[in-house]
Amino acid sequence: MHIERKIPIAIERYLLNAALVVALGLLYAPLLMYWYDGWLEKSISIEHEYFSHGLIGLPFAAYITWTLRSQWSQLPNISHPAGAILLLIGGLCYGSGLSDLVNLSFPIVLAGLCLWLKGIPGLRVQKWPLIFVALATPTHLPYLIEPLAFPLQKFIASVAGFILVQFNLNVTVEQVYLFVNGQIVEVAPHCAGLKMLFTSLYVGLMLLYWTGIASDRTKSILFLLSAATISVVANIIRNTLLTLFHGTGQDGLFHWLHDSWGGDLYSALMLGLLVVLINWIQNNTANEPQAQTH
Amino acid sequence: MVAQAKLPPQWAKITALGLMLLLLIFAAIPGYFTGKWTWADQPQLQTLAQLQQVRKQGLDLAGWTTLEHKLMKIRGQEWLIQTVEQNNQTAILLMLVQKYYKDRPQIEWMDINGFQQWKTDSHRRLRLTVEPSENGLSSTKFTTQFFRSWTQAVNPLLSLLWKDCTSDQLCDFYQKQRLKQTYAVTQWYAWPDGGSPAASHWFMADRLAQLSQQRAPWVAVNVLIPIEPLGNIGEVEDFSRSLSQSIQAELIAEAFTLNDSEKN
Repeated sequence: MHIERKIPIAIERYLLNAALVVALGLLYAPLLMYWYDGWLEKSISIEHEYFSHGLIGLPFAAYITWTLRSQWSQLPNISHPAGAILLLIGGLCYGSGLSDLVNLSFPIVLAGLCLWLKGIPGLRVQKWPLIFVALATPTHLPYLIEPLAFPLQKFIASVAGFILVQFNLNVTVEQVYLFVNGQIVEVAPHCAGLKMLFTSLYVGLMLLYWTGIASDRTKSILFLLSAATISVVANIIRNTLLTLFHGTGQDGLFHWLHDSWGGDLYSALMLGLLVVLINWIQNNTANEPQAQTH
Repeated sequence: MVAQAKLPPQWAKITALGLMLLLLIFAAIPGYFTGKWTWADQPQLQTLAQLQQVRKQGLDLAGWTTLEHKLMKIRGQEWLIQTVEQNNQTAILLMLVQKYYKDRPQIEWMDINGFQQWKTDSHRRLRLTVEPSENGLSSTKFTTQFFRSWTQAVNPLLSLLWKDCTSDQLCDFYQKQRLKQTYAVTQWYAWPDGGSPAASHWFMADRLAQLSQQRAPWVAVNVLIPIEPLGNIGEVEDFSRSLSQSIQAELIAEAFTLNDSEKN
């Protein structure tokens, strides 16, 4: 008798889980495909490309959730009311049909589900995947913070100008404009390196999680600060080279670095540097007392 | 922390599933059937024709005589330049009119400032109001950036205008202004129910409009009023205020409002 009763419950639970996953999939598969298409084809907007780290970040988040599945299922089934609120907000955002709101509904609904199905412990277990999804969710935030990049643009222009003067080039810097041999180079908001900064920090977070250093707050902050510094310095070097190429009429080299595979090479080198850095942190701090939890 | 309620496990899953089914039926299924997803696009500009009209013909400012209007390429974008006059006081308007529904303000002030290579000071925000012309409409509040600008050499914009001037009066005016070099400048983005020099304010207005399938079309406005070399811009502040209000009111009437015949 007991056995007969148990099987339906197991099937029912299994069916419900499957139905939830399928419903989520049906709701968000077209959206995720649209995001991916936009990242690969660069066909949506510059703001969308700011989040292209989602190309690797979203599968990484899915992979983490997969590795956490037994931990997740062992959690008691408790519901936190905040989960219902988040699900409702997420549902309204999705229903609005407006791009930013629908995009944002994805992490909101996921976080809401964690809280609604497994309470606070559920949210804690899925903390990292949720962070990786939220930070890869495209919004117009880059558009809104672009005006704030102006001091950074000015800084980059003056440092690049200063470096070029050391190489005996006749450079004048006016705000964000560099004048070299009658040519003007503008350090535009998109040249301020914000995208690369976002990508470095995101990849930095992934590396922190992957190596387990994330549980050490001091090391994590130190690493992310170094990642940000590397990104800013690398961008100044890039802008200096671009000004040099443009100012001395080497248009081929300019286009190679500005909009061809030279730019990709530059990004790859920079991210490679992050891997080297985290390896160094790992190896050189191994004899210090390690944090117990992973 | 809010108290955690213990509920039967299936109950939580069933409610979550219910919500998702609702979303599927009302928001996702239509997309699957039509292959058109609202989130993949934005609502169109309803007054695109009116915007284009203004771009081509300039603004018809009540009480002002338009001496000339033309399109000029500045830093890769086509600006509408309009020279207007009232009681022997002349002003030059530089307006970038939205051309495409996906165009957004991109801090165009940087382009103008970079193009003019001018020095600026005495920056101030002016709060202005446009009273409605028809009863029942509410007044429109907007903010402008007001400052003094001057160039050390000849003024680049005026030099271009002078090179292509079409009448003796204009040639004479541009030639004088091109060397005079000091201006009281007013800048703002105008949209149907407001205006501000900050693109983020337009963004919020546009998103709010999108909630009801509308858009907030925009025009970037620069008003240049010539003053005495390194003179005090306070002297033309009232003049600038009234001109800015006329421009905003005229934009609302000409560029941001559907013609009666097009209304449903």
